[in-house]
Amino acid sequence: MNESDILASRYAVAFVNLYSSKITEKDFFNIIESFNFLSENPQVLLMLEFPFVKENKQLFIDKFLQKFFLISEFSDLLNLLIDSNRVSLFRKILEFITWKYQIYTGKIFFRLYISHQLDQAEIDIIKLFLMKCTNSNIIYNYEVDSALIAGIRALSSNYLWEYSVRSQLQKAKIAFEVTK
Amino acid sequence: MKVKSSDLVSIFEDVLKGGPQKNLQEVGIVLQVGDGVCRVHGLRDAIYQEVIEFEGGNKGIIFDLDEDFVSIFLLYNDPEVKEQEIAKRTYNTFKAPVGHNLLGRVINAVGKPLDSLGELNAQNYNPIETTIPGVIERSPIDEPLQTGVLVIDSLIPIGKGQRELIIGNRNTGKTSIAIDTILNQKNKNVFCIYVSIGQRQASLARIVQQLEVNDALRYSVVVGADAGDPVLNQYLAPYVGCTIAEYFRSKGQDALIVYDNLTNHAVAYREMSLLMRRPPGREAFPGDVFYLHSRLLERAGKLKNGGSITALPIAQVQRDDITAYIPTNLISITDGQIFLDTKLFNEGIRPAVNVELSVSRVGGAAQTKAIKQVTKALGLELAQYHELQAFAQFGAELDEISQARLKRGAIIIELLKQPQYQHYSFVDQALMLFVFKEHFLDSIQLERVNDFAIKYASYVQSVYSDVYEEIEREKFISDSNKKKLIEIAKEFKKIFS
Repeated sequence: MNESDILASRYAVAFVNLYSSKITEKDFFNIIESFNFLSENPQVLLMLEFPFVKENKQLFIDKFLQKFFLISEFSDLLNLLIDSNRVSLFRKILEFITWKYQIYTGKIFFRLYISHQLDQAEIDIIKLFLMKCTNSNIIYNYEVDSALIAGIRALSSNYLWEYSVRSQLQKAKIAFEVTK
Repeated sequence: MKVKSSDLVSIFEDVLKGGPQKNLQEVGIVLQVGDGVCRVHGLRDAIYQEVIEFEGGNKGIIFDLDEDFVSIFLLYNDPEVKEQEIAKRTYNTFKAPVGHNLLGRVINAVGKPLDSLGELNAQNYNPIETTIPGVIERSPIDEPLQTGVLVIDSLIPIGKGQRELIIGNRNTGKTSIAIDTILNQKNKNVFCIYVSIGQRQASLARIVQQLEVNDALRYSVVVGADAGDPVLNQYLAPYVGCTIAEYFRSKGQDALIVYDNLTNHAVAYREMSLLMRRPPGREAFPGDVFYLHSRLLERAGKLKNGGSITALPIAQVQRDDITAYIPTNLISITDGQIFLDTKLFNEGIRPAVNVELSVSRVGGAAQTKAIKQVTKALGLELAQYHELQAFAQFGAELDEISQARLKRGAIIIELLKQPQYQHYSFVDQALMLFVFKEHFLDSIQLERVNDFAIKYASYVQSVYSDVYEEIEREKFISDSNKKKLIEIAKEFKKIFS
């Protein structure tokens, strides 16, 4: 790990230690959403690095938290980072928080990619299956991904369960390239 | 083909009924890729040096396990690994192909053939990192490994199971000695493995051609990781070669392995360590660079089952400085070193072995009696010669004894010169040194010394084959044979002049 990773990891551990009980499943998804937003728009954080007056920065922070429905404790975290000139770490800290939260709470976040729309009962079966496989509680979100052609892909940061036409084609392609 | 969602759900239902929990793979997600290394989040239970498969088809090996990431070095340049790609565990460490079918083949560090002879058809795949044989399993080194190079076999003898470092500047003939040693193993039941690390492809091609032309490829395996290969391949190559050698040893056979060269290997490992942000030490090498080579070279040795691995690691130095970090490490790990001197090389003394700086810690234990009989005090005579030579340069007048020593020294230097790809059997070597020891060369012109000695050995072999064969059989020059050889030398001297 490089230095910034180590720092970000420490902030994240501290945050999760203090506030994990306040972070609900919904908040967890909000954190992920805000992380995705910052990954796509990294320039947003530059605003906080400029020497604006503190009130303007606070206004920006409030709007940011409001936009992603983040818990108010993130405001303290951002202010702490501004004071120590480490705002650039915020995106990484969010990422680390999502990882540490899963470890801390013993819950695993799965992204489910499904080729066709499923009803809630079917999704519950998948959830039950994943819970049994991983012996953990599951947090999930799901989306329809037609690229799978047909099948399901359940992906967490440590596990993958895939049963899809695309994966079979991919395996065949690799096998063909190896023999070629 | 139409797949209904309900069909897919039924798969889960089957599993929940108690069927096997198939296909739940332990994975990680690539966060960063560059310089042949990638950082992956996940793979929480992965083990050190485990092989990882990427979804796109590439593979890599774990070299660093961190709290949130693992660092994986890629085995191939192609296909490219992308960010957010899935990395899957294989639950296996890296394995190398082994077996007799590999003889005559040129492979790369990942076990793929580099020649055009088709599939490898390996007997087995063995892990490249194994437990090093302990003291109980080993047996003392007491059998010579003939290099066919007179100066080495007479003054720095190498035994089967020994680790002898070949060290010197670039272009001093390090590889030539190693190749000569391989060529000399023809019909001697020694399997040879040549490992090329970080060299140019053209150099490797030339070596392979030499082995092929001299019919040495049929008992050899070449493992090549050239300078253009991923750094991981250069790191793996010597371990792969050693694993192949261990297969032969496990079958009770003798193997010779040449690591050409371990300086490049250390440089490759330094690159990997710096990419993993491990703290650099002396000359920016990581702290465990000693262990890198010690655990490799400790795998050589002779076992009680009769098999042996003789290792000839090669180290390149800068400006004849053998006190650099890697050379001193290797010198301390190995059982001796052959130091090749640029000055001697430029003076036309080839092989340019600096006898004073070279040593074999196994020494006489790994020398045939016949050679031992004729090399007594040879080293001393050479040392005295070098000492006197330095003194004589001041233009001082020397007494007769000193002049005689200088003359003898010049003769032995001349006798020890040997062209590349010309090998002498131990009997030839014993006979050549015998005529020197018995002062038959003293009256021969310096430029004809070598010629005389070689032709004398050839004369004994062809005309007095009974004597020659007896020495070959008994590996010893008996008193009666000694008398005969003196008479033959007198007879030959008349013919020669």
